[in-house]
Amino acid sequence: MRKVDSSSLALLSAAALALPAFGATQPTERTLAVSTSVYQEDDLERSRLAFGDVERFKVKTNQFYVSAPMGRDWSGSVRYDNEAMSGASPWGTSVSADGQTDVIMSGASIDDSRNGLDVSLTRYFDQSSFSVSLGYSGEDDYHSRSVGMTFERDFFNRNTTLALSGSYSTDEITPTDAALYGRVPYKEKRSRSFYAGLTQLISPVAVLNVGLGLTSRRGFLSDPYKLRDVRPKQRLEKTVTASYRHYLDWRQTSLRFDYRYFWDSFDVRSQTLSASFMQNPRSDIAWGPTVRYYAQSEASFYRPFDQYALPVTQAQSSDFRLSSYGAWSYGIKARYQMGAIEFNGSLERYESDEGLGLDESVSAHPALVRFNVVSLGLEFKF
Amino acid sequence: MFRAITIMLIMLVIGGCQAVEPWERDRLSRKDMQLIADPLEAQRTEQIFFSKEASSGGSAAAGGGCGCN
Repeated sequence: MRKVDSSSLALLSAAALALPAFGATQPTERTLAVSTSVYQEDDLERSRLAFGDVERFKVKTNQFYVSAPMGRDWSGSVRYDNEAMSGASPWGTSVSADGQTDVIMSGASIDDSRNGLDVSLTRYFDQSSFSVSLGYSGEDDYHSRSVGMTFERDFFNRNTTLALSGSYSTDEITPTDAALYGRVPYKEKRSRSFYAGLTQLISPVAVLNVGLGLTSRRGFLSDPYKLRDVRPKQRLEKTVTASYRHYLDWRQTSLRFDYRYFWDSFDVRSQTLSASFMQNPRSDIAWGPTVRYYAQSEASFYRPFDQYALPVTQAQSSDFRLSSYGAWSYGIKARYQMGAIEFNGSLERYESDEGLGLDESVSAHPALVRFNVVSLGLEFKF
Repeated sequence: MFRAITIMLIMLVIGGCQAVEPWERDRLSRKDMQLIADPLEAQRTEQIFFSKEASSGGSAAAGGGCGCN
């Protein structure tokens, strides 16, 4: 079983979310939002199972978010989320008699929960804003604490906005059944992250955002629940991003495009492109399709099979997430506005395939995921 | 190289765009035109992809790691 630590990520996302999209201006409305969703992975093919259970992860998530202006120059936001996780996860890989890669899974008895809390406070000035965010995420065997800061500055009559942000997080890992399975009893890791972004209004119906990101992780970056997983103790990640929004008056439709190029010191490279189209056939209804393409190369120490003959200090991992693969995801979103309350829902399907990876001539990893996500929510502005 | 491309793109856009006055921003203020239209959806999807892919980051400063299943 491996744990979810994304509180730092979530915290700093929340810091960004609390800020107005265009310009460092104070929000004028209070927002209350709740959402519930179910994430369900497809079962592993039984013919590729070496050991364990084929039933993979299911996560039920409840989210709560509130934000409000405070006085003339401040705003605050709080986000709480709870996840209930169950199912089996990959422990490693082995070679079958016919030479194919099989997956060693855990039992399906994993049953855990995570609670996350993020609090953000923003101070507004004439042409700028400054935010501070604190976050915590806790599970039985994973605790993460983080702090983040974001500065935004408007230029050219709020046609251009520069955003600078940084974050720091500490994570504590205490794997369950460490003595029973010979896992590490306690490890730590620390992450520092920086981001610079520029948002530019292009016309009354178009806006562009570009950004550069840098993240440094140090400490225990391996998966303590895998049978043999040894990763470097440092990782440096870089991103270049671009987002474009365009409104089509004649179709009453908004077009959303997002692109990210990622590369890191594990030799992983990836490209992500997503697009969505939200149309408004009536003033109270909006709906449209979403599509996302993702492709990555494999890490320099990725191996299709766990190799126990190698020294335990030599980096290796058979984690499918470090292999060369790609994925398409597609779905639909809809919203219905009833007075001050908005009801929303979405369906999404994600299918990964080694043939979409950035590296050529790679062998298929049988643990690549396919999953569905269904969500329902409502938002109240007052 | 990417830094140079990004800087060129920024210069191109800033040079080619028109000044948008405050009273012209009604469509830009629509929910679906925001960089992050739905905070909860953004957090949820980011966490899923953070858990299932080797890449992360790109929206503000992304800090923590992940040991996700």
